Amino acid sequence: MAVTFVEIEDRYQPKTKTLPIEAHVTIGDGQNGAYLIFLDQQLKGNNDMAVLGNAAAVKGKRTIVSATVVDTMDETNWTSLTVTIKEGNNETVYGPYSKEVAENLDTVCFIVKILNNAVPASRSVKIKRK
Amino acid sequence: MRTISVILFLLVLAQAASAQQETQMSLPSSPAFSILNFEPATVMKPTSNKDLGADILNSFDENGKLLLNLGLEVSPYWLKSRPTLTRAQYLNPTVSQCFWQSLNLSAATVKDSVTEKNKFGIGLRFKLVNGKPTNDYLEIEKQLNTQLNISNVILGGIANVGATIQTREAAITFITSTLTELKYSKDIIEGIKHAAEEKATAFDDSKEGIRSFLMDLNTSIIDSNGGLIKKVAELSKKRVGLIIEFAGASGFITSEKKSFDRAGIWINASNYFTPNDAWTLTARYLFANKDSGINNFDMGLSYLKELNKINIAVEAAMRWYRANIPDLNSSNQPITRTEKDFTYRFSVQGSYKIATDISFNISVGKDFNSPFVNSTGFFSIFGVNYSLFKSPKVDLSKTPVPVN
Repeated sequence: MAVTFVEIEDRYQPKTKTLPIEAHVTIGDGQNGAYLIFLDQQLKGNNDMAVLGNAAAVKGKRTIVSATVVDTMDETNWTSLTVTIKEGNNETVYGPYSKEVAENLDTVCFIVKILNNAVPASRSVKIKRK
Repeated sequence: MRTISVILFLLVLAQAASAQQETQMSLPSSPAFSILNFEPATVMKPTSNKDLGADILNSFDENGKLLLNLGLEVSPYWLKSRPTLTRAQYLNPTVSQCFWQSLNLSAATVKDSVTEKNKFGIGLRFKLVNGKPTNDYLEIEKQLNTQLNISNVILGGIANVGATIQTREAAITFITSTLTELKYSKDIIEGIKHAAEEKATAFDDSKEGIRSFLMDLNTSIIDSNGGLIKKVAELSKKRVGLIIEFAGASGFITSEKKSFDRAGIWINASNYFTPNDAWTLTARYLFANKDSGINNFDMGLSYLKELNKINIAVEAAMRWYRANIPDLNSSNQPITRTEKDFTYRFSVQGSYKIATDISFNISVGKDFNSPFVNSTGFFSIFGVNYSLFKSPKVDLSKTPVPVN
């Protein structure tokens, strides 16, 4: 029953200043597993979606998804994880991150770290007067 | 005298084993093997498109001829990763999802040792309804997920190493405070803390040291749940409620021009009203196009009770058959004699499990009448089922799969 670690790092660019940012996680391949969602060290979600806050609240912090997936199925040795960040109607999908284990009952530990950038400042537009 | 006894005992076992196969009304696990009455020495079970391609290529010799005594079993749906299929969707599938996730195709080649003919069989098997998981399973899955979340807390610690976690002590504090927030009992938290403090002594406070310490702690916690993981895997196969399953297969003689040999269709509807009690309604149609063409339509009802070591099955089945038998008339001209009849079968079967792969079996009852054999049809069989070897899976060299 081997244990494999998979670590992924990525970035997220908030789309608005005000809308709440949500993190959703899917453990795929019909496998058994559990996950937690953190904003840095702060626990935000336990096997359910998490509301992380607006752009200002997440700025410079990392959304961390830690998931442990066990291959309990005879049909496949694949395990996979997909993280979706939602902000209003905007959706950014990370993954699916897939890993095939060598043997049945092996475990894969996924760590996904997504660094949240600041909202891009809106550009000032100069109005030319004739 | 002793030698004669041993030979007699082996003969009884051999006859019993063949009779036990004959009496099974259930769906064949590999319809292609079943239609040929043959279990190949080598069974290829590809789990990816790449493996499937390699297996098909390996099934032919250098002259492009199909190799004999080979078997292939493949589940097309599982040839690639299914990242959108959640555990809930897998355990409680819709009809179409149930079809795809249970579809299994099989093929086999064999040289008939009696007729010296080369035979090829192809079959499929699938479910349309697959009951639902048992309450025991749901309970144990919940327990496992609670344990897996301890691993997730440690993984959260690994993710923060070098950022907000700079020492082993800070890592342990993070773990205990998060477990407290997740409402784990004091005993569990103290146990984890104690194990962490013990492991921490083997590492230093460098970034790599803290990561290695946490990975080691995490691996030991997952390993300690090995029994629970096995139980989840085992119980996930037990279902309750209605299960509807289909199978079909055809056999061909590849060394003859008129190649069709036999075909079969099986339908099973089982109702597991507990994980260990089931009623099963079975219908099957078998057609053989040998020297004598035979059509069988069987319909049966069985009840199965599974106990810890003892299984009891009661089965009743009806058969309508039609046999076309080559014969000669009074003028010595060749004719085809057609025999149609109805017959039935009733049996009580019991088995006692001695070890994982060995069981004693007893079957008592009346078998179907045959158009070719005159007998009372009564049978009483005592036998031993054993499995010393499993068909080896062809191991194709797999390259490590990179994370997407």
